[in-house]
Amino acid sequence: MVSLVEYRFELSGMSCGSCERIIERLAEKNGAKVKAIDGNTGKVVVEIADAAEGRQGTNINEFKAQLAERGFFEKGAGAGQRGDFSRVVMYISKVLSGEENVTVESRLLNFALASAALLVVLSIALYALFMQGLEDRLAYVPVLFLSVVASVSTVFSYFHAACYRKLLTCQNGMMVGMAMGMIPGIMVGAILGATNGMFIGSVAGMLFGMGLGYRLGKCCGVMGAMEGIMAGLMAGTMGAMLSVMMLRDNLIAFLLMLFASGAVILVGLSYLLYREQGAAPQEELSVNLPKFFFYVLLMFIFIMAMVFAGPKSVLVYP
Amino acid sequence: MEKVIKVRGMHCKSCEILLSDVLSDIDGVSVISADHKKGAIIIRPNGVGESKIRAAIEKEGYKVESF
Repeated sequence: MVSLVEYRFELSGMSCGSCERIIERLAEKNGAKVKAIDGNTGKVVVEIADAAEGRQGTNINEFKAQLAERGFFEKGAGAGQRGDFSRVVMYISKVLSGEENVTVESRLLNFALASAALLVVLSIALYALFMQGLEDRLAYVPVLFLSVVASVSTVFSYFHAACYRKLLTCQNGMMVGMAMGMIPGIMVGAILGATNGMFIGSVAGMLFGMGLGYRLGKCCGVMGAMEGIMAGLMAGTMGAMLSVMMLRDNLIAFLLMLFASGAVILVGLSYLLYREQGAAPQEELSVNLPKFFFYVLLMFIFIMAMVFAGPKSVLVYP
Repeated sequence: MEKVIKVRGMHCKSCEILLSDVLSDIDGVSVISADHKKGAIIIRPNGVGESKIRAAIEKEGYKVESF
């Protein structure tokens, strides 16, 4: 008679009855028996014949590897489990090397890098040709840089999230609406809050964030649209307010940190979509480099027009 | 030849994985794709009868709407 060994472990990634059923079936196929399983806590108790004793059966590690292939990772197992940073690093390196299931992200990254390079050239030309007469013109260099970051990262995330429009679950749609309302909204609000004052910064940031949040959040209904609008409202006003409050207190250093954090969050959104919804469908990528750059340029021109020709309040940067 | 099976009751990614596993376990059947949003599974039956495939899906609590 084959002696069975009992194993208890916790899995991440279980969310419903189907998840439990996948695990039960997998156990059956491996000659094991699930004694208890709880989708809420992720706790699993299985009895499995120990292959190490030379008897027929599957080694527990083999069984766990099969679970991982289906997206159920053992909690506390280190590398490879849900939430483990190595998975993000793996995703980024896949995108950088242009692997097959991340071709959409790789293409968008190439568009973003090319657009950023073009905008940097454009910013240098703008600085050299049209800003000669400005007092404190060196102080505008970080503004130009932050505007490039805001434009490129926003357009990248917009087109990436748009690829998933037809696939998004409500939860992920809300996350898209919130992130796309919040990060671009706070970026625009912060730049214009600094250079034009609280009113212009708040209005521009708010409208920009709300519009973008609504546009991308509405794919999963009213909830997503509302989430996007609310995030845009909060972020646009918050960005402008922070800039005005920090005008005389290391504003540029703070904005660099804020924009770096925003860019990281947008990369996180991209990873979240890939992880939760699978590879982005290539047929939904409705952009090429000229179109991508056109949108980047449009956003950049809008910010520059407001910075240099928009109405300004009394207390502004520089 | 590919067959599109319309299935009612799929609501998440795990349903797709579960039904893909179930159908792949039937000798001869190969699963091309499963999409819970469309409620559709595309398979190559390779001679396996409809009733056997239908029974395997319905055993897991899903309803086959069309085959």
